[in-house]
Amino acid sequence: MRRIAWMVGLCAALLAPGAWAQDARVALDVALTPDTVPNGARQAVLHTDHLLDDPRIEAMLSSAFPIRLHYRLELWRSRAWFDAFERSVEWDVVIRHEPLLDQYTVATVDVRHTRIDHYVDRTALAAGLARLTRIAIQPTAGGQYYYAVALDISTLSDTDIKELERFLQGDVGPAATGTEDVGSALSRGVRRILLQVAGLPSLRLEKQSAQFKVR
Amino acid sequence: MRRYLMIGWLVLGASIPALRVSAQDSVIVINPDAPVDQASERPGLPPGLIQHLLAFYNDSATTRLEGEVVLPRGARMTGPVAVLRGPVVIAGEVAGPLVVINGDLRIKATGVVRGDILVVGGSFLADSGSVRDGSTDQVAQAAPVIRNGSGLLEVHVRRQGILDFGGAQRSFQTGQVRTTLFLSSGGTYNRVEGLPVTLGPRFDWQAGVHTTARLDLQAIVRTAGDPTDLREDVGYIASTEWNLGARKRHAIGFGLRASQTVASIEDQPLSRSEDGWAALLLRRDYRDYYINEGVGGYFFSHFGPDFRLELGARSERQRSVHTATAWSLFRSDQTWRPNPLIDDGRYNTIGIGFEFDDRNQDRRPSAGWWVRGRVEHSSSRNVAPLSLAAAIRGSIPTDGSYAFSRFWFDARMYDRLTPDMRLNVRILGDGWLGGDPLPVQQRVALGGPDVLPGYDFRAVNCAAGGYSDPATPALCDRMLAAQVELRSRVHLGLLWHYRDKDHPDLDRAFGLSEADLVVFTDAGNAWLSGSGPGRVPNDRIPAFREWKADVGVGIDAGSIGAYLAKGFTSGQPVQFIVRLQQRF
Repeated sequence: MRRIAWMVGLCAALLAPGAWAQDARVALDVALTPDTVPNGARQAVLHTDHLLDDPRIEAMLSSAFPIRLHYRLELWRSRAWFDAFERSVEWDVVIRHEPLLDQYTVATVDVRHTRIDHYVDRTALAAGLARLTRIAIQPTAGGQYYYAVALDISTLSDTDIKELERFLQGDVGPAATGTEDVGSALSRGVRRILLQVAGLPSLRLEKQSAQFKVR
Repeated sequence: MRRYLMIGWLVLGASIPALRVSAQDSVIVINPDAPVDQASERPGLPPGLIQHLLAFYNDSATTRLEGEVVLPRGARMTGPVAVLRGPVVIAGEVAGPLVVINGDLRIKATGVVRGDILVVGGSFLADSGSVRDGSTDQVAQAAPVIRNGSGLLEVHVRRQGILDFGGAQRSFQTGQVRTTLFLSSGGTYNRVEGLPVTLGPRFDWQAGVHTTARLDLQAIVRTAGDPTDLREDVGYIASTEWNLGARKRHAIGFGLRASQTVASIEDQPLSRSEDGWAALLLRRDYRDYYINEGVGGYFFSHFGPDFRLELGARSERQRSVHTATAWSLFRSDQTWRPNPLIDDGRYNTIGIGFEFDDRNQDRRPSAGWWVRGRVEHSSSRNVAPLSLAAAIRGSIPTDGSYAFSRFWFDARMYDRLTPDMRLNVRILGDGWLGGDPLPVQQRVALGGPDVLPGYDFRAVNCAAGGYSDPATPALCDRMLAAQVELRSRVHLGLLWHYRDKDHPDLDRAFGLSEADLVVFTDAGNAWLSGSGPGRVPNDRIPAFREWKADVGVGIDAGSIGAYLAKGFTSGQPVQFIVRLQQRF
């Protein structure tokens, strides 16, 4: 019982009012396309805004750490008791600052496509990131539906950065650890320490759309 | 927010049929059903261009550079120049053609390049005032090339999959054979071996378009000393597997294996890695072990992407092993639980197994099925049986006729009820199927952190007839258990941000933002099978009122979870369990 009391005490301490606060300036919204299709099927439109308003994210970006936005959109059919999962789509958006050219690169990567946009400055990047994203899936059978979207924002880990660099440099294979020279290993180690010390910004946002009916 | 969406509607209009948009459009479209955009596939450079890069870079007259290159104002470089992976900044003069491979090139206002410029896999920027008197070509797509040990450029061949052991390893390619030398931990820590360290080479051979082969040679160094002579300090695994099929869904193959390892008697009540941490930190090793030395082979076939069938045969000498002088961080003054003795002997086994797996992911699945099963028949001509009470096990024949069959299955279903709620169900069965009584190393028990967490370790171990053994061995013939858990995402918001305006670099966040609230119940029983008092007939399972059941609740934060569980049996204390992975 002492163990339980200890756990309860710990939980109480963690939940003490005023001890914790959450700030998430990044905004995620999911809306539906207009009801123009005969059967009422509608697609999801996402809007991510104020990403660069978070000082931690901007700081990491300006320190040459890529920011990864991982999206997962799910289509659910609403039912009386438990809802039914119908389908999901996942994609990534990787934002990098290229110091030499002093420009920003945004790579949108889904299963089948890779799209790369370049932005000359932070203002253009913010505008580009705030663009709407329409996901071209929709229900076909009749019923009541809604979309649920989750956005994970994180700084790429040192391994991820290496993978990204290899990918962007044309190496489509898995990471090979055997060909790493001493310099690369040292660089990797320093980067790992930096990442651990820096306290990576990491954020998860979730939203649901309004329900719509497919006839 | 709505304002943006209204603007979006103006852009969208009735444009749903338009699926692809170009860069910098106002709306990005993600369409998972669109045909693959060939232009976005990598690598996509024309072969001729790649050959040109190789020839230019490898030419003995070319000045080869790698990494960041800055040619300052007033400096001059002559001849063909090739730079691999820039960036390259030219403020001086380059007298000759310049090729930048997989890097950016910038020519500053004072920069001069007297020759053709080719940038592949990077950006090109020329400041006003810079001088170029040759052609300029730029290809954004990266070149799939790599520098070999001789410093020359070659096409980077896509490698075969390499298992990441989490230890040090070095790989190199020779023709169609890829060799990997590795040194890693055995993935666990236990009271019999200490920390097993594995090292050795692995060879992957691309034997043909549809044929791959692997040869794995591992030595296992056991770091804990053995007070007896029963256990060698070095074990080994030599295995090969041939995969005859281009894709997993059509693959067939076979494998051979010779090994001398420390094997675990049961796969529960904790996973190998969790058991290792419990042993290393708390001096609690929930598994039992024996030495397994032998050879075997198997054939396998995939029927579709999710189903695998395997037939195998092996001959193994199995023998007891004692607890070693293994170290632990805490409770080092306590003694380890003794490792139980087994029925030593050489066992010949044939078996058939299957696996169906259509889960959406391996580590934390939220949808799909994972069903595995196995039936084996074993025999032994030289078994040396332990003396067990007749109430637990009948006599084992030692005239060479000893034979038994065993089954095992583990069926798991993962389902999502709502976006934030999941229902997971598992049914697990194991034990005797037919023939003579099972040897000790094939027997089962229940109770402990995994399958029946509301009960103590091996609370049901069938130690009938007053049998007492400090090793608490598993002695039951059969076990059957079911687990159900309901998981609901909770947004805890337990994040505390440390902020100091004068030291923004110290900005940190601690705590949990979200986790799964897990409510679960488990039920199971393990029993002695056969006729007689205290036994359940072979064709029956125990009445449900005789089953052990528990309920519990916990928080699973991904890499760590804490649970409270209480058995329904009166007098059972509440158990506190920490898990380092999802329960199942």
